[in-house]
Amino acid sequence: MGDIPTQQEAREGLEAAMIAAIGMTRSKQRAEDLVQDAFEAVMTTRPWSRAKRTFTEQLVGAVWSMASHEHTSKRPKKDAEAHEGFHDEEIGRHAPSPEYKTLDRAEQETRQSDAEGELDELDAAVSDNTTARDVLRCRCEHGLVKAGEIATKLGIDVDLVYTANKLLQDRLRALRKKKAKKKDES
Amino acid sequence: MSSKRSAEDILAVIESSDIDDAAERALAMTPEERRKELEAAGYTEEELAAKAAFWHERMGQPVQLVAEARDASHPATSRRTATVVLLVAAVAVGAILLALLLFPRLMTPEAPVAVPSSTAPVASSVGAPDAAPSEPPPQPTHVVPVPTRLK
Repeated sequence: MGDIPTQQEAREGLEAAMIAAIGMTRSKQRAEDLVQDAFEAVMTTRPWSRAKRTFTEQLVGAVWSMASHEHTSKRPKKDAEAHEGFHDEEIGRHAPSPEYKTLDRAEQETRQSDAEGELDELDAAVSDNTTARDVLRCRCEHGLVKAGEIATKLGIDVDLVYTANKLLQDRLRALRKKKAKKKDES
Repeated sequence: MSSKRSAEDILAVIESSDIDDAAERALAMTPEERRKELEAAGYTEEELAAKAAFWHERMGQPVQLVAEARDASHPATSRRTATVVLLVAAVAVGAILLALLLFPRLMTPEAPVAVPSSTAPVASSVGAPDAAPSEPPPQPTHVVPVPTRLK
């Protein structure tokens, strides 16, 4: 059982969680559902400890965790299915053989090389936006993840980094959509 | 393009950047900024206060319920009563067991095994309180009482 927030803490947490959830889902109804789930989680599986962090951080963290899980649980499923098929057809259901390990390594190398190619394409796709290009390079060259850190590194306002991230995300989706369409046609 | 993180990792971060940024942004805002943004999204002050009060009450509920239940049942009294009842029950069970063990011994007259040192008749050593005091004392005998169960 975690700590119980004061009414003021609950209010601040709720407002921050709502803003985060609206930003993540772009839907008021889905945001409210997400915040409700986050509150339930804090009451059960993710108990809050006042000594560790503020209630706002705890609640926004729960919202982030749920939204990330929802986001990532779609892709690995597809990857896992593809991998499973390959495993069943080519390798069989036993312990991985040296051949399988070699194939797996080769597959990883191909994925990495594809990802590098995709990053280059993305860099070209945002050539019209200096900030987006700088943000991408900052991520690649310095391994920075948080928008605040990137903003500090580039000496710009953090809102510009959020906008650049949005543009990068949109262009990446567009690139992938285009590739998928091309693949379907061929 | 050289990088500290793998290209796959960087792409994954870009893919989920809207989620990360939304959380980071919400945490970086002041309470006033948040309130303004929520008002712009269509939430009223009263609505937010009601929602916060609802969750605050719900989060406090389990603790209150436990405390209420604890107060209602008066644990100190009930615990004392339970201890007394258990003690009484233990004593009662002990007494019954003792009675069951002793009952056959008390009810069955023990037959002594007398090893006479002479031919004189041996008087019952147990349960002979009304033996005549004027009679001459019996000859010494070696009476070995045998427990009923061994007979």
